[in-house]
Amino acid sequence: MFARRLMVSNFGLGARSFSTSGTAFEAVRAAAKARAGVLLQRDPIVIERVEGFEAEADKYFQWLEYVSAEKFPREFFFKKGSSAETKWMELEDQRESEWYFSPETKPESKSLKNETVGGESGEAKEINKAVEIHPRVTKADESGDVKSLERKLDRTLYLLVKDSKGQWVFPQGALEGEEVLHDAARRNLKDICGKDMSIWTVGYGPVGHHEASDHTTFFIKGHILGGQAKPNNTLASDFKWATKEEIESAVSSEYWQSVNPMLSTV
Amino acid sequence: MSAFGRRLCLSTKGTASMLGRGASAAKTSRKAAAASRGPGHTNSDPRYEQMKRILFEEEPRQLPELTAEDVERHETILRAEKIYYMQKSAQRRQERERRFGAMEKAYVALEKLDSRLFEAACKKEPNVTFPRQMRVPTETPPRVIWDYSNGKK
Repeated sequence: MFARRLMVSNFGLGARSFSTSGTAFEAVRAAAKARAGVLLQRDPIVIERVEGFEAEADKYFQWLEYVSAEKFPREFFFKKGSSAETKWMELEDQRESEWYFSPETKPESKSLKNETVGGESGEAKEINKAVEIHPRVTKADESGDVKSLERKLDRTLYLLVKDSKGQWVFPQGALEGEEVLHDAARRNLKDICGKDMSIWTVGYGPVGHHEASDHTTFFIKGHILGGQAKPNNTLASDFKWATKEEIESAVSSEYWQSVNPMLSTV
Repeated sequence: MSAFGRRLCLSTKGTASMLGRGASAAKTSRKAAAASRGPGHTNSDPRYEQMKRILFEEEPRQLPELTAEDVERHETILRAEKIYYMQKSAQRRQERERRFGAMEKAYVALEKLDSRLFEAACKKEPNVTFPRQMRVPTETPPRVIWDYSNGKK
């Protein structure tokens, strides 16, 4: 709560009165302890599919609206004998079988399509401009390619790199000179993962931190908009794009404790 | 009252005379043609008749009649829906607060560690806009899901 009020108020002069590291020596020592990392995420590309209770409830309420609606003036909207009218009649016939109330109260079903004089099936063949619908489950999902950015389209993927000690961590590195956190984070990401990524870092401040024995890493949030990570082999031997659960199984337990609250479930 | 409304209220003969008053040349010529055809013949669009019939002459809709069982079923569904969305929004709120808490703790730790970095982190970013490349998620993915070339050819 205190920190929240601190952030809301205007900083300028006020901050100095709270700072503990006043001297230049302490400042240098403190900066050496801080490290800047990037929590780089690939946002979901498809929305969550409505499933289970929500889907069924939606069907019920949509049917209720349909059944309670005003009579559809079909002669106003459709030209007699047009293919649009035929399509509509087919849909109406499909909907006849839907009834969520007591079965005794269900009205007698009459097929609209067969009612029309002649009942001809659409002779005029419309040029079927099929809309290309691509599947939500991609090749990368099937092959389990963890380096691909086309995997798990409905989830957020985070970039993990394998550091020199063989530990899976978010890309991070030390601060150089008079660098600020967000500049250091961007520079370290470029050094570790290459320049072929288009990234949007959000804001100047950290979204989380991890306290290790000799340093504290502060994470700046970033979104990858294009390109791919190409790790520099000296700084990172491997990389992967992982969901929240995959991160849990990959990183050490102390790292997970610090990093867990930052991550999105979706 | 709009011109359309005025036409609806008037009879078809009246409509013809309305059109005659201060109308375009084409309309007056059509009116002349209709007049020449004889009395009782109207030059109004048949869709106006259709609309008038749909709006005023059709039976009002009959809402479905629910049995006691149906009512109970409906109320149960409403209640279940309410509970479901309450739980969902509570989960979302919990996650939001968790993420904010992590950010808060990071700022507190940064303040303790280094005042220069803390001050720089507290500055507000000027002119924040979302990048043009950022895509809104859709139900199904695009043809080219990810641009690995990053815009370069």
